[in-house]
Amino acid sequence: MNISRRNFVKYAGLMGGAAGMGSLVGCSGSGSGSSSDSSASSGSKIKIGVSIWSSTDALGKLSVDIIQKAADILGVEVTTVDQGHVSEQVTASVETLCAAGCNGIVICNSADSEMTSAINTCNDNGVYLAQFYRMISKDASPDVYSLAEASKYFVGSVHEDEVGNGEKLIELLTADNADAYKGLTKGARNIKLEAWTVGDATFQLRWKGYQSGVSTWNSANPSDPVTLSDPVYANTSSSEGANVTQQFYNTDPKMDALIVAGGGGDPLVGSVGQLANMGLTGTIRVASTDFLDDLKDQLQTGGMYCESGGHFCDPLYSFLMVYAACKGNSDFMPSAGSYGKEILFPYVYVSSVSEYEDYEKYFVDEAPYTDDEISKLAAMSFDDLDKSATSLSIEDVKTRHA
Amino acid sequence: MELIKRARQSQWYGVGLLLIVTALVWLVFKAMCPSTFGDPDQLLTYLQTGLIYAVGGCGLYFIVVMGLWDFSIGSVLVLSCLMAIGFSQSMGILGLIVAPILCGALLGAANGLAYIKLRIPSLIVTVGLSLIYESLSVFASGWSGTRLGDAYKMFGSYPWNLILAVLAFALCTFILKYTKLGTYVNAIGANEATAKNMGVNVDKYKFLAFVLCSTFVGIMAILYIGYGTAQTPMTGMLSQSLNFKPLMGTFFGLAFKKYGHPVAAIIIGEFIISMMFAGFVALGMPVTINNVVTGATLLAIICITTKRVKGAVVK
Repeated sequence: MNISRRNFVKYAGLMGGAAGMGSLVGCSGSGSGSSSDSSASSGSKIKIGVSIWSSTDALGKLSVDIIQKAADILGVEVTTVDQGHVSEQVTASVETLCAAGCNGIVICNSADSEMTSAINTCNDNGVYLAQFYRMISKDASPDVYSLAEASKYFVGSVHEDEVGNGEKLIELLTADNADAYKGLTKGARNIKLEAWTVGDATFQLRWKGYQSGVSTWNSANPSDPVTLSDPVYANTSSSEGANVTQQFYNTDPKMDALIVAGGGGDPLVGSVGQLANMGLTGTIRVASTDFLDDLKDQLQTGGMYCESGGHFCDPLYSFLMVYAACKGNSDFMPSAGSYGKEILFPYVYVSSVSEYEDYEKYFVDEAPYTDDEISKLAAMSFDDLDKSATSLSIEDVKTRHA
Repeated sequence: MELIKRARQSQWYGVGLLLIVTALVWLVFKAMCPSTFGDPDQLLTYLQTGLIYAVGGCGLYFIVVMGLWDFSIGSVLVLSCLMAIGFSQSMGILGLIVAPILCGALLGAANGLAYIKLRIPSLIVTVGLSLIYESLSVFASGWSGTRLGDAYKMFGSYPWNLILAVLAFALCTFILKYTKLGTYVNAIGANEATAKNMGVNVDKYKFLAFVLCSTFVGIMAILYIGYGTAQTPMTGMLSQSLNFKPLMGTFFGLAFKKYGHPVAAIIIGEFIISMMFAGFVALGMPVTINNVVTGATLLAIICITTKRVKGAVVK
């Protein structure tokens, strides 16, 4: 069928006008604009979505597994979307999960700016939202923070004190330690920093912590200063981690410590492996966050000096907060005007084989929470839940499971 | 002038040009950081990473020279690395070497078959298939684990990485210069219609090119996993980020194809990129500056060395 240009323009204009009229009528007829009441009725199964960078890397898998364990116990359906910490994909993941009929979403975003669209999407769809491993920064992102405060669906954030984490790692690195592996007893003074993704919110906070730790040391010890390099980014690849470490040493053979800030585990493996290839294992202190699978071996051989981690139950608490909101628990229901709930989740710090053996026994070989304990957590008030989260430690699990 | 004219006629002119560029880049960084850049042992470390991506670049050359794309090489690399990890545990060195190469060849065959049968652009086919390969890598990691055993890391350092890489380069050179496949991929790239009219089975050679591309990525996986020692499965198209380093080497090969030594151009190109990264680390420059300058340098080298005809159609 041949349509002349004039007719084409005419019909297109008519159709555009009709579509515009239709959308105006539709919008004015919808009233409040909220499409659903997200709290589940007593008969229907709650569905909670998980938006995570990767459900398959070391920490991602642990996170999804603990959420799934809780979901199985509580009879909740879980849907996971991997977004790779790519902003556009983070935004799309929330839209996808809302469209999939989730009553609530737990999200680990990358940058605070992504939470603007995430919160707006959840507001529009009446879906409860909470963060894990993250919190919106009031200072750095005041607009996003205000949006969260104004939202009736933003439940809150479970996050770690990343600045404190950075400070603690610097404290461990710079201190002399006579009990450490034989080549690593002297405190570090020339620290190189390997990061993963430019602009990542978690890294920015850890970096602040590293810088603060260095500053604190230098103020107390002006004649024995510590230097911290600018970060070099290895993305999430072991090969790039190895290359960055190699180039650090090539450019400065006097380096005596390396911080691999994060990146899901592969960059750390590459870096530790590269140091081994260069015959430098046990001569350079290596610190990182997120426990390696073979951390015990690395601590024994001097491949690693100290690591923070074991915080994979953070997503569990975020999940439980959203679950409670979906169940209509008033203690967790957000109210416009306040940020929502915040849980500051503790890291476990390991810098010796015995410390790791304890962690392994109580966090790896056995789960830190039994099925009964998870059921009890799900029924707690926020204050009790917060207390339970912040008191989690090796000693805590030992006491509960004695 | 006479000397330059005679040099231009030499078959090594292109390689010579690249070596001059390499020396210039080295000089610039050496001048800025004399004590932390560019010593002979440091040059060997720059070459170490350059070799890995150059092997991948050689494989990708077979595809790109024909005007096609293969955006699945990142996912092929990940899956091949996981195969190397898994089979090295059960079959030792044999598994470490054979499994990723075989994996690459099979995935390349899948790419080629899909492209020929579906008759849709290679970019779309390979991106679509990369999603499937990424999912397969998740299953593979459940079986293989994600860490290479200590006993199998020999291909991550000298001399074994150099030996394997040189064998790969020799194979690529041999195929391009002395086989029908090499002749025909160039012919198809130059003018597909003419090649077809001359009786070249275009579909067959495109298929073989995809197989070769991913086979070389399988070889690259041996070097890659030997160097990094760990590979987590990547989903959600994250593996796409692994496509670009080998591709940059391929672009060097393509730009210098007319001088007759694309493999040498790929190797030298990847070495320049690796050297620049090390130079920026030595300078303490942020990675964003690194990427800007590397990209600009790549464009500059290609522009200077490629004859651009005014008014020509550039795709």
